[in-house]
Amino acid sequence: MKEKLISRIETLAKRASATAVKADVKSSGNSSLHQIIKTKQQADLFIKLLKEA
Amino acid sequence: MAVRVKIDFDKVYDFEEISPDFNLSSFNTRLEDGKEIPLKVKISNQAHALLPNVYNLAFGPLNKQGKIDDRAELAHSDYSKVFSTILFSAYAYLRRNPGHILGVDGSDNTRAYFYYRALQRNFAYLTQHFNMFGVKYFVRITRFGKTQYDNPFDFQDIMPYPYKIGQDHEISQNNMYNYFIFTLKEEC
Repeated sequence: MKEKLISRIETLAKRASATAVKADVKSSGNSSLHQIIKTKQQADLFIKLLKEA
Repeated sequence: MAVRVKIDFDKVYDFEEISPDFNLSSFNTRLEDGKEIPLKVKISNQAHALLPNVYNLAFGPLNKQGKIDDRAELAHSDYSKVFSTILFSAYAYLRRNPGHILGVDGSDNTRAYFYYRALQRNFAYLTQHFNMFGVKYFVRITRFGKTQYDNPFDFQDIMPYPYKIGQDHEISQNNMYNYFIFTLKEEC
């Protein structure tokens, strides 16, 4: 199944290179997670917890 | 949103457009009233300075300002196909950008609960492709010995705590995760 998905992704990549994206889409700002984490210490702890989860 | 979503990467909408790095894609969803509208899936271009490799994924129709409206309420004719397409675009992005981590905001408890139930119901399928985490935000309580102030909450001191999503963990809507994280499943 994974090989089939990878093949579809490769096809998409070829199509992406051949077609320009028409709309310049803006995201609606930072995520809540990005707003909450304000210090390197918080960020390091979060990544550590994520790896251990 | 009492909808049962079945994720299947073989049943997705065709992408109308997709950027070479896969951080922007769009497809048309059919609504219950028969109308078709474009939905955008946008993955942020830049990671947070303090969280390298964590990129935010947002999806929805565009509003008048050209921004993704991730709170839009749409009655899709096929929710399974919509969410399969969004998750397939996330999977394709992670394949194309090794080491990246994708995050999705719950936006509100109802929506977050809907996402969570969809992830749980499709756990067996999705866990073949992703590691999935729910993140809860905890506010610190300040204490001074045995005395506690009337308002002991320090809302400037919030800790995001990630939990690995399991198939059978029951969480009430009021205690729902604030944020969801996806990483690519390591292959053996």
